[in-house]
Amino acid sequence: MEEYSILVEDLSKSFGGFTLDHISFKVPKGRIVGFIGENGAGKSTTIHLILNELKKDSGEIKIFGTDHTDCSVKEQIGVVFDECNFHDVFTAKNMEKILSGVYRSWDSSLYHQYLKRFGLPSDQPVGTFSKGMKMKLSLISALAHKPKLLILDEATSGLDPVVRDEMLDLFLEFIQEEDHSVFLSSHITSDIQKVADEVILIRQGKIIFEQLKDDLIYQYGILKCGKEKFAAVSPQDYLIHRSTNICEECLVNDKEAAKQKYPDAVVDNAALEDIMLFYSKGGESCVD
Amino acid sequence: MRGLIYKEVSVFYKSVDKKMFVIASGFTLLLFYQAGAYGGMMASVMLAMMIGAQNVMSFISDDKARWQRYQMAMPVSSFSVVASKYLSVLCTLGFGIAGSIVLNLISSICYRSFNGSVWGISVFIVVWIPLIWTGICLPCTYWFGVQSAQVMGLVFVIPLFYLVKYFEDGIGVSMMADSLAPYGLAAGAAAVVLFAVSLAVSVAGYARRK
Repeated sequence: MEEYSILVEDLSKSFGGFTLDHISFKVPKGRIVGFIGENGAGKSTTIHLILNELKKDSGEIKIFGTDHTDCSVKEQIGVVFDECNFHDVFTAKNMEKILSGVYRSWDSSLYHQYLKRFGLPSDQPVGTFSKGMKMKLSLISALAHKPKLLILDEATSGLDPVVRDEMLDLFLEFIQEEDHSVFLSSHITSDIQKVADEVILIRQGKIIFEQLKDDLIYQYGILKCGKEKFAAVSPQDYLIHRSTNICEECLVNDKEAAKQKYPDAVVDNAALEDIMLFYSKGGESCVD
Repeated sequence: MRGLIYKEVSVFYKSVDKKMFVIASGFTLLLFYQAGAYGGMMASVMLAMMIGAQNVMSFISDDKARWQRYQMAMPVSSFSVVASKYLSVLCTLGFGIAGSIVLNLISSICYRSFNGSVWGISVFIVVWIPLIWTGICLPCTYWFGVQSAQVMGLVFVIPLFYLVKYFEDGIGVSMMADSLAPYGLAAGAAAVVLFAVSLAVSVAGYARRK
């Protein structure tokens, strides 16, 4: 049985000065995989390629072991983009009629349960909804055909913390089924940190790392020391180094080892955002 | 595809501009007053043009909602997506036919005149114009975007305007039905062929990936 929901191998795409450069990654079944990176890093391009909305230059994309160009595989995918793509004139009832005529596995009772749970009116036009309500309707619509894979492209961006939290809870519910998985692209690293099992960082069209979130959170750290003490820090012991006005900061991938080896230095925990900033804002990379 | 046809027909009706409807009603009254017993036929031409334009307008609504991006994530083939659009155009023809019958009925009652060929050509017009209009504009939309279809729509309006003016300034609107009737079969066949070719061109346009 196929163990990955998404398998991307050596994927490339070039257009308008941007290159997605031979990226490879996988989304295992039963996992929430966070796809992080700054704006323009290639997150949306990757998702468009996975959904066959863009033509790849080279590489391979498989969804549940089937080539991504096979239209029928989309029956098992629920997609939510960064904005609601429903016409303002439509109501939730209209959307039900549309989507039930598109997805064979559409579950009307599930759709209405979600509408009730999130307090969304079924007879009001989408144009009268707030952004949060629109995004909830998008997510509900993506879930009501009982997909096995949810792909979310910045779906939580621009939402208030309460709505974001409700949506994240829904992802966690969805993942309770062991063959379900979520591929969640976002630049809001706190959302990823809250729900993801694995994290993929993309920067300038290249995958920087693909790691378990717990490994990142519990093992990575930020070593801080004065400029004179930094001279004693071996380049082999850190991933990236940057200078600030106050001190030298190094991203280390084993904070306990760093604490032991450099007892005079301060080693703080590194949040996902810190790690992303180290890679995105640059610095001096020291380990291959 | 059932869901997409429902979506297309719903967008067609729901995105009708109410102000446009009021303006069109005013023009219809004017046509009834000016063209007399032929007012129903002239109003049918206007109705047909409105239906053709409205079919293209629904694309603007799709564009605004960025529906196409969402639609591409659905388990539907390029042919199904485009065919649903064309089938929805055929569905709206019923509305046009009903409208044309009502308009001709009003002018026949008001001017106590019944002319079968006028009724026939009116119904033909409300079917023919939207078919030709969308047959030209939909491939433009799928290949070059919504704006090109709007421009093509204008290009389509101008010859129609001159055709009506030709009859008004020449042999008279009263002769319009009889003069056009002999060309009906050829025009109908041309519309069907254009519509079919247009569907194939649109599918090719939609299936393109950047």
